Amino acid sequence: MCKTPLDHTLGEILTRKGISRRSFMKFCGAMTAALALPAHYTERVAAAVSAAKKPVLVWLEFQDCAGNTESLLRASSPTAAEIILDVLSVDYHETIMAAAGHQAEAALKQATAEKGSYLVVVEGSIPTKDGGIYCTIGGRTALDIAQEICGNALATITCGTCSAYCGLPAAAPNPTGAVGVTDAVPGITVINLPGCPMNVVNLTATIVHYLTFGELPPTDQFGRPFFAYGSKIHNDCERRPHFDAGQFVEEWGDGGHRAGWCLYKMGCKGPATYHNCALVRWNEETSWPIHAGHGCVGCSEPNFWDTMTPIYRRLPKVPGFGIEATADKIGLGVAATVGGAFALHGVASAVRAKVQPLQKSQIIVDEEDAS
Amino acid sequence: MTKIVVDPITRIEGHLRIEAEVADGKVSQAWSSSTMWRGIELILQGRDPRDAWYFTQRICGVCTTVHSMASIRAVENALGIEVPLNAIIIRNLIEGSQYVQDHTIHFYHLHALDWVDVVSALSADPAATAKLAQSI
Ligand code: SF4
Repeated sequence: MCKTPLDHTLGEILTRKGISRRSFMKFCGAMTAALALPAHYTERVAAAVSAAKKPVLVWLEFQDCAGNTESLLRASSPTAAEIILDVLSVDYHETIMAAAGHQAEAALKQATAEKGSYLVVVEGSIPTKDGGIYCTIGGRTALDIAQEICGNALATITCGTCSAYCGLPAAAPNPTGAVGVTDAVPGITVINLPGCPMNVVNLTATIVHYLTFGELPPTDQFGRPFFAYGSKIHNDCERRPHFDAGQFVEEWGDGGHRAGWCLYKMGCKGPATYHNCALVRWNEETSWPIHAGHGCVGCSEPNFWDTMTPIYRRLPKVPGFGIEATADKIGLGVAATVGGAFALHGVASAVRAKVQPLQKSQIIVDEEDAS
Repeated sequence: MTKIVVDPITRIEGHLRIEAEVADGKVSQAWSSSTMWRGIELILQGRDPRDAWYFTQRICGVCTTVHSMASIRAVENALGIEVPLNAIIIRNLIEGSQYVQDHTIHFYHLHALDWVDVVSALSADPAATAKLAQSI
């Protein structure tokens, strides 16, 4: 009997595609490292991925910018790209599928026909205001689609901060009543891969974890997997020795900026942000924002659009912490305080953005703060 | 007269619906609607102008760069800021890189499927195609 693609194991598909054992093992090694597992797990990962059946994956886009789709298309190592794009099989994806209109809707229906048999990736937030009219696809609201498709899925993976925690559309004053998947469809299994955008390495590693252990990786209180969001940007940052030595960029293009000093005074949110950017990097691991000379904006944290802005304002004065004074004679012990101060600032700043828009005079004050 | 509705229009960023009325084999009327709205204009109000580019660029994750550049120019115009030569050079390099990258994404991942019938590739004649290509 002729096997359908769903009957083949991933190992068979990889072999047929001419992917060598060597490059497959290299991929599995990279995934084992990304998952923060000991190196000897590589064999187990390889065995599990080879034997796994191709899972059905549908990719839903709601109030999004397709930035996470771009991230998916940028999977750099050819093997990883093959695995994500061809082997894991995206059965429905508005931005890259050939079909449109009725055909597209039929593809979605077919892929999700059997309850609990498929994985869903969601990109973009879900508007709830005015009956959800601010995002419709094929005449149905995003809310309606999410409740049906995510509600019947094996698990939902949110890609990007918008689907994870409502993101940019929900920034004050949240004009469309946008929410993330967990709030739109309560009670379902969701794993959050926030970031603006998420790094495809983390998506691939999450799926590999699922194939290897039969479950999604363990997560923190915000539903983010520890392997990717267990450590602060600030802890893994290559500029950290400069922070500890009190060497700060004071102005764009100054000597410190050219020498790669710490961007804390330029508004870097690395001390309050959990993400593995410094380790996995982007574009074939060539660079990442702080490496390129710009501070972290905190994009993997819930509500960062309100709590981590203004982008170029450094950690503000918080009564009792004395941060401003400490920054200039920074010592090793200050890192923990910095994180705490930031969390407090986040709340204050969110409240301000909601009740009282920034006035011009305040902006000037901020500039003085940052100098 | 027939009415055609295509929703979603795929392989674009965002959500688009096209409705068309067809009479005698010709489109007589057509409507397009963008079926998703986030209100980024409203979200920008009252914020630090130095942050505007970062919010604005999320209009599109495919051609992100051009939206951030347009926003930066708007802020500079409003505040009468003169752009240093080095900044102009860096922006040109960034725009050039975006152009190269975006062409690849747009052609090969997005609209190629409007020109290429993947299924009929099975009955393609590569030799004849190569000959045709060389004759142009
Ligand atoms: S403040 Fe930012 S640039 Fe400085 S060490 Fe921390 S993460 Fe790196």
